[in-house]
Amino acid sequence: MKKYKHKQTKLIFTYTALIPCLVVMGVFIYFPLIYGFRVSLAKDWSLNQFVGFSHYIKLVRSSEFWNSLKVTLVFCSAYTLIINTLGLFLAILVNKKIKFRNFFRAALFSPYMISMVAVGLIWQYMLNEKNGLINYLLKFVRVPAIPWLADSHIALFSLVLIQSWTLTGYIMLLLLAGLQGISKSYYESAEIDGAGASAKLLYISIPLLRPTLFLSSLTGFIQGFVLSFALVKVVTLGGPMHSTDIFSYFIYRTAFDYFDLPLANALSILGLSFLAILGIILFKLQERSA
Amino acid sequence: MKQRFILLTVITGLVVLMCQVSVVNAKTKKLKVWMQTQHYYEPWQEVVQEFEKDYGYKVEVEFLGAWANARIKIMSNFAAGTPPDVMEVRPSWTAEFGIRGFAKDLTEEISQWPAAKDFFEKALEEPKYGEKFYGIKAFGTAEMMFYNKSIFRGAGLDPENPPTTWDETLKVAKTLTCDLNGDGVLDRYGWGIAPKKWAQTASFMSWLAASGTPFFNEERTLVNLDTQQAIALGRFLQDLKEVSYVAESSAPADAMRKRFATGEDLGMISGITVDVGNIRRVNPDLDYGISYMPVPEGQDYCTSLHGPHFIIPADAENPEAGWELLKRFENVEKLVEITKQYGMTFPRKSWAQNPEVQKLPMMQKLSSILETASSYFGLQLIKELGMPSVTGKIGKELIYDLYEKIIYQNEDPTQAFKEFTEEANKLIQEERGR
Repeated sequence: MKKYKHKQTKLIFTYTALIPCLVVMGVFIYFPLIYGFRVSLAKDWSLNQFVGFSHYIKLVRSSEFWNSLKVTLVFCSAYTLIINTLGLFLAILVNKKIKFRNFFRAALFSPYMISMVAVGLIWQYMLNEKNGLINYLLKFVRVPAIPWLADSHIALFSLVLIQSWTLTGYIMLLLLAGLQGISKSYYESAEIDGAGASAKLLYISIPLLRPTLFLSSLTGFIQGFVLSFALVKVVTLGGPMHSTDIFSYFIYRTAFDYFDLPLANALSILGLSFLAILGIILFKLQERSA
Repeated sequence: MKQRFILLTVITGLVVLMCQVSVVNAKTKKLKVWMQTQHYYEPWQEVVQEFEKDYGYKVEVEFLGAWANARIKIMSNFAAGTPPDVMEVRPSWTAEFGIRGFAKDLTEEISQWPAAKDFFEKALEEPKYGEKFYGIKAFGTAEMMFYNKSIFRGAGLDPENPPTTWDETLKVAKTLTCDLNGDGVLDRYGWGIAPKKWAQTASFMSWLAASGTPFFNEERTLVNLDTQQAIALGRFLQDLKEVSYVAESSAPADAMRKRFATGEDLGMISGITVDVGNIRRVNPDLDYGISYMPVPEGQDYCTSLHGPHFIIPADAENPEAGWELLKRFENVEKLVEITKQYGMTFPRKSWAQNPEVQKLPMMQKLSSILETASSYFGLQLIKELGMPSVTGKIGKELIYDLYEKIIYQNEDPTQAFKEFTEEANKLIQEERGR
């Protein structure tokens, strides 16, 4: 009886302790989600007229929506690939016993700590076609000035470069933690069997890092989808010619520039649905391969 | 026990004190004003202090940042029903807020206000939508040509005779653009072409006005920039680009105006009247002149009118007090003081005729340029067609695209203006069909 009462008390305490968290999640996540969906079914923000899924149909039929989705997928895929590849390489380097290892770790991580607005402004000046630092340095190797932000074929690549510069250090730390979690006995056994550095990387490090790599890829991708707004707002404004019109910026324009709140909410719901489906597919693939 | 008693007493005392403070705060009447930081001039700060003494209000002035960011704050507060009592807004937003029911109808107040007759007619009519006034024009600025007289002299040109037509402008710009030290890199440019952000609000709007192109079809129900005048403008700008410093598309709006103020390498730019005051503060020794925006041969001078409006939100807590404050802001003596100290110009007849204003450098020329100014394309769009979401998109996004195609992508202007007109009208017709 005493044991049962103790168990009950524990349960009551647990659920009571969860209430503040549930309230906060309800107010800041679930209620806005449900209300936003409700707004997306209305004609305008006054919610006086119900129009069903007409905003969703309008979006699916609009070339602007598909362009934004395409740009975002290209952007997120490109920089996720770069930060994971580069991050892994740097993690392996800073995992070795080298001089000033801690300094290098801190220096590589530091871009992640700078506000995205500051990062955008600095890089905007550095990538300036006429007066920027990058083109100035390229002059010394006889490379002509590159219109980093002015050419619609190059501007998206420039944003990938900036985003990669910002996030590589963070991914490096995640993968470093993963590397340090791998037991040394695996490497010792491989050395005894005559495995070289590349074999150890391909057959031990990468397979055992797969869960960490998966997590870093997924969070990196989602971060690009959702949080790259500041970068686009500061650096390119979605141009030139919508070549950097990333999804989050598209939502912002629709909501605040044109005050088309139902359409903006429909965009957000579609974006969320896309990410949820992508997440489920990737988790299933991850489970199967494990 | 004693410690608990002392602790309880302290906590009770603090709670009572906080309640007193809340009561005092609740009793103080507050008037919330939102405006641009750089527009909260000293004479207006004095107006606020006098208003507080006379009416017993505490005026809380909050500063809006760049207009793009200010819009987020403004729209969020409108949606939440927590707007201020007085607000400074962009001209095209006044009509939009009137249509959406966010701005108070000030028709009655303005009809009973003697100072209303003192406004230039175009400036008084600008914050109107339909037959209703939704604001008053806070400042009267217009786009004009700034030119560097020292650079003109250095190139053997007459500094008192700036170009007035497009052909003359091209000739002068070609003369001015050169490599001064023979290192193969251009050191001086005839014109400074504005970036996208400035083009959408100012310079491209003024070029459109100067071109003489109509903006609409005859019935004024659809956009029409697929005109000979607009296409000629496109070709002119592409020729001008060859002898200009072209700002990066995403550069800050004031990039060229700041560069001109340094006096180093730009012969001519387009800027607004407030730049006269800015240059006086930043580089008072700059030897420059102002003139009308160049126009095609045989065309009358024409430019675009700019300058924010003051509105009173429909949900303002203290609309009457807000209106009183606005009327005090519009005291002509205060406006003259602002002009003397900061170079800002106002759309008021008595201000323009004031001897102290007339004495200021370039004021006479400024006043005559202001007289040629009319509402810019983006503003006319919304006033003529309504549909704020669609006309906002046309006036910003489609204009950005058009400007990029002509200046940065070198697209054929015939094709660019045709595509613009078709896309704009497609959006308008889709909205009408909803």
